[in-house]
Amino acid sequence: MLDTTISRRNMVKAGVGAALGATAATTTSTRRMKAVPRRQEEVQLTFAGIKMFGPDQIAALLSDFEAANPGITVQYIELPTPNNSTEVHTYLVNSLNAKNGEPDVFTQDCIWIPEFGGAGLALALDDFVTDDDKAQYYPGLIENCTWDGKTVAWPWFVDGGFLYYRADLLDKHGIEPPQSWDELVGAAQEIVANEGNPELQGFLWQAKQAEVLVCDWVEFLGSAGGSTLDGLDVTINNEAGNQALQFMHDLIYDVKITPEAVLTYDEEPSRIPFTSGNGVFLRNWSYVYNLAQDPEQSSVVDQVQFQPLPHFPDGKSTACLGGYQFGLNASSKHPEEAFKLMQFLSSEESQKRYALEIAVAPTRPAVYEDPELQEKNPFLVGLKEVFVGSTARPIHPAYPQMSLAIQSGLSGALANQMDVQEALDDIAQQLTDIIG
Amino acid sequence: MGVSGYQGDWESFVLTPYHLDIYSRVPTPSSEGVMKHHFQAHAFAFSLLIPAFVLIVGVALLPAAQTLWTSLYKVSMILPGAEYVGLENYSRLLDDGRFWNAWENTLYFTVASVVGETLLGLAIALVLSQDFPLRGLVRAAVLVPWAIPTVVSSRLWGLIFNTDFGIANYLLRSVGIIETDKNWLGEIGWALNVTVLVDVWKTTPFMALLIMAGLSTIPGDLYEAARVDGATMLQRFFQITVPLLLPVMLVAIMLRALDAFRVFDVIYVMTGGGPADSTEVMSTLTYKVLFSATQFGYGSTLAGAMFMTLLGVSLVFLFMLRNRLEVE
Repeated sequence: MLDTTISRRNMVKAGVGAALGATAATTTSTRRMKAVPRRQEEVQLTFAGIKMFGPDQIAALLSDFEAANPGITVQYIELPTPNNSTEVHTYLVNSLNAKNGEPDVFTQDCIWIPEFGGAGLALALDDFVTDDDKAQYYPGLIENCTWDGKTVAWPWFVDGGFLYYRADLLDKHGIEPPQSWDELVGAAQEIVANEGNPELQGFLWQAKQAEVLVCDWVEFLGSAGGSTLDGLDVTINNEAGNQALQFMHDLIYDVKITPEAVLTYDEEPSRIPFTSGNGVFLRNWSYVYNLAQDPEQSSVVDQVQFQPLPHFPDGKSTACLGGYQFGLNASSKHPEEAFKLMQFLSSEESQKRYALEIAVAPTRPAVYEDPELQEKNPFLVGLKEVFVGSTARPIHPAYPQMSLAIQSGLSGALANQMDVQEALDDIAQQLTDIIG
Repeated sequence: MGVSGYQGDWESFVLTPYHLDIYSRVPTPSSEGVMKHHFQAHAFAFSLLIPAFVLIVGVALLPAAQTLWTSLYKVSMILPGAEYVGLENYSRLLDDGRFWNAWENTLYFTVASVVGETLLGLAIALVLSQDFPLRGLVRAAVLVPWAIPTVVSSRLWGLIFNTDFGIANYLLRSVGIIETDKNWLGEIGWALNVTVLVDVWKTTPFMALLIMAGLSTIPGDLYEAARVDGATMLQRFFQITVPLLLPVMLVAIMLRALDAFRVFDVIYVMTGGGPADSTEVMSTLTYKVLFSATQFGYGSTLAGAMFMTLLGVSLVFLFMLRNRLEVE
C-alpha cells in the first residue's frame, strides 16, 4: 500500500540507500546484513510512554517489535510515572498541538480520552480495528475508549481504587473485613483504641487538592449511590453527594479515624504510614500490593490483604476507574505502522509480560486465565472482581477543567473553609457553567 | 572556596542605580548637528547592542505580545478554532474569585517573603562584612540554600514539615512548643506561611550578597569622621549606613519582589495550591488553566494580568530609584 504512494524523493533516497547498501555489502562482507532486504523506506516511529513502577519492560518490548517488523524502528520518549499525571498531560497537550507527528503513539490516562478525541488530536481507529479486536477486551474499557461513537484510544492496563487492610490486626481483634462504611469505622476505632500504638491511624486515603481527591470522591459518592454528572445534568449536590462528603469530613473531624494530614496526602504519603505498620485501612491503587510485600519498603510483609471498598446502606461498592490507554497521534505520518505498534503493545503476550513482571492489571479477560499468571501473581487475578464494578470519572472533553473545580470545592469543605452543602452547590454551579 | 576569592569585589557583579542612570549624564542634543554627531559617535556602541536587542525581542517581547494577543480570544484545545472576544476575558477575570484569591495570596507571599529576607539578609550582611576568622568559609556556607535547586529544597522542606514523620513536629514537640503534631501543609493559614518560610530560607543569601556589596561601597573614612565627631554606633548606622545602602537595597528588593511575585516551584512542589486554594498563587493558577484545563485564551489573560501587575510594580520601583538619585 505504501509502495504505491511512494514519492519521487523517497525513491531517490531508497535508490541511494540501496547503492550504499550494496557497497557496504561488498566492502564489509563479514558485517551481518538484515535478513529481509529493504523494499521500502525505513519507518521511524516515536513512542511516548509513561514510566512504570518496577523494572522497565518497554525497552525490551520495543526491540521485540522492531525484530518482528523489519523496516520499522521505534524511538522511545520516557514520560514520568502515572502519579505525575499533570506533567504527562502537559507534555501531551504541547506535543499533540504542535501537530508535527511526534509522538506517533502515546499513552494516556483514561480521563483525557474525550479531550484528545474531541479535539481531533487522537486519530479515530475505526479504519484499523474490527469488532473481533474489540471483543477481546472488557466491554466497559472499550466503551471508555470511545468518544462520539468513534474508537479514539486502545486499552493498555486498568487500575482502580480498593481497600487494603491489615489482616493480622483484624484477626487479632476478631473482626471481619468491613462491608459497609459503618463497619469500617467501628473496626478502625476498636483496633486503634486497643492496639496501644499512638502512631496508628484507622483509615488512610487521599485528600490533597489534586486529581486523586476526585478519584477518592468518585468512590465515596458512588458507594452512596450518587454521581457527579448524569449525562449532562449536574447531580453532585444532591442527597448522596451530601452524605458522601459529610462522611469524608466526619472521618477526619468526628470519628477521627483519619488524620488531618490526609489533606496533604496523595498516593505515596498515604501509603508510607500504612506499609510502615501505622495504618489499619488504606484506600489506594494496585501498585501498593507489591510494595507491601517487599521487605525493603514494608514492615507489614504478608500481613496485608485487599478487597473492594465498603459502601453506604443504599449504595454498592465501587472503584474509581483508572489505568492507561494508547493513543495514535492524528498528525502521525505513519498511522498504519503506528497502529501496528499499538496493537503489539496491547497484545495478549505484552499484557501478560506486564502482569507477570510489574503486576499491572490486564485489559483482556483472556490474560487472567493464563496458568502462569495465576500461579505467579494470584493478587492480580483477585482484582478482576474489584474492577468489574468500577466507576468512571465524569466523561466530558472539559473534564480536566471540571476536575480543578471539584478539587477546589471538596478541599474547601474538608479544610473547613466551607460548609459541605455550600461546597457542593459551589461545585455544581461551576460544572454547570463549564458544560454551559 | 571559590566564593571567598571574590571578597571585597562584589559590587562588580551588581547593577547599581548609577549604572541605570548612565544616559542622564549624556549631554542632551540641542540641534540636528549635535544629534548627527551624537549618532555617529555612538554608532559603534549601538551596533554592539543589536545582538542583545534581537535576543530580548525574540525571547521576551514577542512571546509577551503573542500572549497578550491570545488573551483577546476564546481559544481552548477542546473548541474548534479561536473566537475573537475582545476584552471579554478581562471582564471575566475581574469577576473570577479564583483569580482574586490567587492575586491576594501572591501579594501576601511577595510582601511577607521580601520583608523577611530583607531584614534577615541585612543582619547577615552586617555580620559578614565584619572581620573575623574563617569569614570566607562562613560567607560560602551562607550561599548554600541559594545554590540548591528550588524543587529539591522544596521537597526537603516538604519532608521537614510532614505531619507524620517530619522533623519540625518532632523538634517542636520535644521542646514543648506544641503538644500534638501540627498539620503544617494541610491547614489553611499555615500552609502559605510555611511556603513563605522556605522562600525566605532560600533567597536570604541573595539579599545578603547584594547588601554586602552595597556595604563595601560605603567609604570607611565616613565612619571614621563620624567616630571622631562622637557619633554612637546606632547614629552611625542610621545616619551613614542606611541612607547610603538604600539605593542598593531598593534594587535588591525590586529584583526579589519581581521574582517572588512569579513564585511557582515552591508552591507547586509543596502544596500544589491546596488546601482549599489557600496557597494558590498567580503562577500555579495560570499553569493549571493553561495546561490542565487547556483554556489557552483565558490562561493568557491570567498571564497578561500578571505581566501588567509586574510592570506596574517595576515602574513604581524605577520611579523611586530615580527620585533618590535626583535628591543626591
